[in-house]
Amino acid sequence: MAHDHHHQVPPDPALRVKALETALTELGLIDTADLDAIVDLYQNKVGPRNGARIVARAWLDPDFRSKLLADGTRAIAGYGFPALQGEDIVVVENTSKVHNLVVCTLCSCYPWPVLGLPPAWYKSYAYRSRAVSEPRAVLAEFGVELGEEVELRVWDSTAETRYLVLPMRPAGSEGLDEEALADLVTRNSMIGTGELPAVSPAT
Amino acid sequence: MDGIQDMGGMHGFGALDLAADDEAFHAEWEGRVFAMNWAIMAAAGLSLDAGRAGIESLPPADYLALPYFGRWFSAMCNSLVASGIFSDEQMQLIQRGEVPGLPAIDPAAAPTGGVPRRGLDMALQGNPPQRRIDEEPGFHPGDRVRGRTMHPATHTRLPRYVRGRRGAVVSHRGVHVFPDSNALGLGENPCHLYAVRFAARELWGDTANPHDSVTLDLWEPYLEPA
Repeated sequence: MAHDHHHQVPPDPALRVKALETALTELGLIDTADLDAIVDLYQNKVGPRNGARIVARAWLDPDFRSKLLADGTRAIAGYGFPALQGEDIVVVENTSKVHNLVVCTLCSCYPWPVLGLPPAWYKSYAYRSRAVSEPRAVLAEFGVELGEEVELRVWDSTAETRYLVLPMRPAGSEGLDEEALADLVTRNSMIGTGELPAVSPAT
Repeated sequence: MDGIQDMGGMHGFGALDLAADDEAFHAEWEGRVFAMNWAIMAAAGLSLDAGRAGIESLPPADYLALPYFGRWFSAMCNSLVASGIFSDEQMQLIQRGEVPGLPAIDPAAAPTGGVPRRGLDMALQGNPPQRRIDEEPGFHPGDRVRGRTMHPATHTRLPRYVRGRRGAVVSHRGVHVFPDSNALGLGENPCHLYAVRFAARELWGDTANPHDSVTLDLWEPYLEPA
C-alpha cells in the first residue's frame, strides 16, 4: 500500500530544522554565522553565574542592593549582559518572613540575561499548572519546607517583566568575598525553588 | 485565546521531573530553532506577541505532545507560510526534510518595514516593551481591582484563573505594549501595566494557605475597579 506523503512519519526533527535553515539562508533571511553566535551566547555565555554575581554584590553592598530592589533593569545595566528577555527586570527579596517563587503559567518567561535559558522543569506543564495553585507542594518537591506563617508570594510572569529572586544570605558566609559568595548561589535559589544551606566552617 | 497554554491551576500533570538539567539545549536542532526564531522575527518584522499567539494556536493535542522547541518550530513554520515567505507546498517539502527550490518571496512584499535587524542584534540589545503615553494611570497602588470577565478567541495574557477575582494593585509597572492588539498586527496600543496581587484563598478557596498570594502583571484593559 502506497503511503500518502502527507501522513508518513515525519523525519527526525534535526532534518526538518536543517531544511528550514538551508531554505531561509538561501533566501537571505538568515545568516548562519548569526545563528551560531546566538546559540553560543545562550549555550556558553549566559547563565545563572550572571545572577549569582548580582546576588553576591547585593549581599555585600547595601547601596547596590537598594538600587537593585528599586530598579533591577537599571542596576544591572552596567554588566553588559545580552538584553533579550531582561528589558524589565524586577528583583524580589526573600526574608525570614517572605518567600518569593517565580513561574510563567502561560509560556516559560524567564530572566535570560541573569539566569540563561530555563531548565526543563520550569517549562514543564506540571510546574506551570501547579506553582500558582499549590506552591507549597511544589516547593516540597524541591525540598523546600516553609513555615506555615511565612508569606509565600508567587509571581506569574504574564507581561515582559522578568523576576529574579534575591535569596537570603546563608548563615556562616560572613567574611567571604564576592567571588566566594557567588559560588554559593544556586540557580534555583534565584527562582525561589531552592534555599541556600548554611556554610560550614572551613576545616 | 482560552487555549491549552493557559495552565495555571490545572490538575493532572503530575509531579515535577527534576532530573539534572543544566543544558540550554538538549539537541543541536533545539539551538538552531531558538536562534532562527530571533533571526526570523528580526528579518520578517514579527512581534514576540505574534510568536506567542502562534504557539498557542497549535491544536491542543499537538501543543501537549510536542517538546518545547518543537512547539517553537511548528509555530515558526506556520508563521512563515502565513506571512507568504513560503508556500504550503514549499513548507510540505521542508517538513519532509527537503529544501524546496526557491523562487518564493518578493522582498518588497515581505512584511518587514525597512532594514531588517539581525537576530543577534535583537538578542544583545533586547526588544524593550516600554512606551510613553499621555493618559494618566487609571489605577494606583492600593486600589482594589477585579480581573475582567472575558472570553477572547485571540491572544491575551489575562489567565482564566484571575478573571472575576478581586485583588489589589501593588505596583505601577509603567506603560507597555499591549499584547492583545500587537499579536494581531493591530498596533502596539500601549497601556498602563500593574502588578496585581490576589490572595491565594480568593483564587483557590479555603484550602489555600491564608498567607499565600499570586501576583500578576496585568494591563489596564484587563482590570476594573472592585
